[in-house]
Amino acid sequence: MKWWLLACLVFFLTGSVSRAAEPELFNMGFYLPGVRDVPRADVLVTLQLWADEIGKIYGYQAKPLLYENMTDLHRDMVSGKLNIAVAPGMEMAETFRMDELAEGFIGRHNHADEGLALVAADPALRKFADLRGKRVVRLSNDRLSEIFLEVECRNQMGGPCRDQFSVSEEKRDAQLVYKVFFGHADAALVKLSTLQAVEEMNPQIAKRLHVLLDWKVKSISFGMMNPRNPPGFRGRLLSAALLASKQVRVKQILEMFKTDYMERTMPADLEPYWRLHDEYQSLTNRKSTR
Amino acid sequence: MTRDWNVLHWLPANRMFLRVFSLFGGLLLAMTLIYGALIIPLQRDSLLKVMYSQASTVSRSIIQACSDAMLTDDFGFIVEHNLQVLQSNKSIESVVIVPKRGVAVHIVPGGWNMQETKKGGLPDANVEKESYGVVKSAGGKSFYRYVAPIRFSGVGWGTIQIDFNTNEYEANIAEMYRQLFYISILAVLAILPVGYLFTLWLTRPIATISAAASRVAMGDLGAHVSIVRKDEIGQLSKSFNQMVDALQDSRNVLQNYNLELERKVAERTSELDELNRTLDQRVRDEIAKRKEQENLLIHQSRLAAMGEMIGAIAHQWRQPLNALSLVLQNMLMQHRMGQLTDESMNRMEAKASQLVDRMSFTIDEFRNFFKPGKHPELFNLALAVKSAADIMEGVFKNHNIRLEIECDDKIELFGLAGEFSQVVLNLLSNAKDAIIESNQRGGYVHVRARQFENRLLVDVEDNGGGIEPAILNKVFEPYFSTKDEGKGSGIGLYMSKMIVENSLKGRLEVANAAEGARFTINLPLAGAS
Repeated sequence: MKWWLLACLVFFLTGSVSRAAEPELFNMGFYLPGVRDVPRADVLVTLQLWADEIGKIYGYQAKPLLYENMTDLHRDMVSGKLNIAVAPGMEMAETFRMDELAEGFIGRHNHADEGLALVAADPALRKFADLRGKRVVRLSNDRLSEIFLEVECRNQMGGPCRDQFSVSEEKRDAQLVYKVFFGHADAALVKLSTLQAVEEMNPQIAKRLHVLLDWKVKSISFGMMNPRNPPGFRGRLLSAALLASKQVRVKQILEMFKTDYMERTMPADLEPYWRLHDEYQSLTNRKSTR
Repeated sequence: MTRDWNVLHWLPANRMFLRVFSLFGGLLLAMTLIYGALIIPLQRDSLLKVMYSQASTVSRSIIQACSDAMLTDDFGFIVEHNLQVLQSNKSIESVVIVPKRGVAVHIVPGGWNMQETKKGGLPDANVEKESYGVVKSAGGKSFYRYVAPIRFSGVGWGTIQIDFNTNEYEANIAEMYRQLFYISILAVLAILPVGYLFTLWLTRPIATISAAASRVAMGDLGAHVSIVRKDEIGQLSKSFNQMVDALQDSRNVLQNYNLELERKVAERTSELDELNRTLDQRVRDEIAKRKEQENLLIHQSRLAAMGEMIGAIAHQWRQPLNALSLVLQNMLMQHRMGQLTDESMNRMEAKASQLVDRMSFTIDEFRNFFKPGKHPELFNLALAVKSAADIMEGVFKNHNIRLEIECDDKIELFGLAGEFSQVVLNLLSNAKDAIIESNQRGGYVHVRARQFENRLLVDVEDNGGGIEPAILNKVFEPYFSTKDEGKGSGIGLYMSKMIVENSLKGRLEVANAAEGARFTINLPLAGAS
């Protein structure tokens, strides 16, 4: 599930808390660079439209705030300006400590996994080490892909990726799969949900491609509440979110984003990201922000 | 209280209403259906054009967006782009891109696959022209297929095939049929009240006038219609009332006239009764009057004949009178000269007596001719003709008219000889007058008696120029004459005809011959011997 769609969903679902009029102005922070395949202006317009819609339904003002870097987002969250922060899990793990986040929400699919998969078409490529000298493609501006690949290269090949194979980037998830399928790349690091989606669209892909390596997490994107929010607010928000998928209006929104239901998440669910981040830091000899 | 729900009772009971109502309704319904039949094919073509336009635009858009990908064989981009196209355009069923080299890509909403270009069911990768139209799949589903070549800088790359679902097209067509159906229903629903009212509005006054006209035809001139409208029907109604009023006036006039007529008829009847009562006397008076007129005619005829006779006597006497004058002069001369002897005296006296006797004979002869016979008897035809000819002999000689008689002297007729001779004399006299009037030199009159079948025909033919055909049938009318004033009485031929028909039971006929007129006395031969 795209992180910004999750943001929209969270933004919408939190509307049900407004009846308590606590707080009246509801601020949500969104990390914008994670948006790759949708124009940022469209995201803002969409969020604002939703805000208006929510305002009509629940009778309060919701304000979306967009951030170009995680540092600013982190600052406003810590300062209490934001009630919820929405960002990819990897960026969230790189920026926040666990105690700076409270419980939150993620969108879930009934039949889809979240995480990464390294796929190849050539049957001769059976393990990660076989990629030496090959063409590997990954998502551009995706911190998770970059760190994951680099960690694997350094762990399994003993050096940075640039010394092991050629790495090219694509803006769209599905293109990663297509590059391998049509022979323009030897392997691709794709999101599991994307891989399953394109395989569902064309079963030939599942027959032709095979997974060399996968890494599963609870979600790629997270919407986490500020622990400085009053507990009552967080409780109402949580209850509303869990019941939201039963409401007709919310169901429509969920279907629109191909999300089956909303699920509560805890800061501990970001643990795989923090571990990956720590490993990466240790491999690249950099200090963790955690 | 019971109510009669029989609809027919609500309809005006006249054929005109039903005809106009049926015509109005049928026409409206027919127009609606014809309009639908005409407009639906046009709309269908229009929808197909819209679909073609849409397909062409989508095709160009895909080719343009995927041009780089096609040239670099980046089928991933082609697939993803077309998936987005299909996602954003729900009317597209599938997109098939068939390159000349490599495998074809078949993209459907939410899925795609690769297919070998040689596999059946794919468009030819080398098509040169676009093609389009509604086709049916094996499953019977209709869709609009657009196939176009993909070219870059004039070089063919492959073919694109886009299938559009025809849901919207069929929905539009169905909507048009539905609307036509609704319009037809509306038309029918409108026909019933509107047509009823319109037809009623149109036919009721006519039916009213018709009923009034029937009453008038039955004799009720008090029938008037009270239709007040400012149109032709209103004018008709007004004219009808005026006509009825005029008829009423005419009837009144006729009644008055009838009364007057009846009064006059009664008057005339009274007069007729009076007339009938005196009719016998009047008939007798008329007969006597007629008789008197006939007698007058006969008298006039006789006078005319007398005139002829006197003229003839004058001719007959001219020679003996001259001779007698010479005898007397001779006697006087001999006496003066003293030579009158007894012998010469006796001889001259004998001569004078002979001349006087001859003149006396002539007188007797003429007198006998005109002596009316009282009893029919057998008489010799030739002698009767000759007696008439003798009378006219002198006159004919005087005018150098030749008289030729062809008559069998053995033929005898039964009747009044004098009257027959008088007829012959009249015909000879007319012939003479005609010859003289025509200044005919060498005139002749030819009398010929002949038998024809059971008839005896006596022709009197002259060369006097004949009779104008226009007056040929008038010559036997009394007082009809073509002669100069004072020269003809106009009763000669009339009397002759009367004599032939009444006394001789025959016919007197006239015709033009070669040079003149021919009168024929046509007598039954039974009377001849």
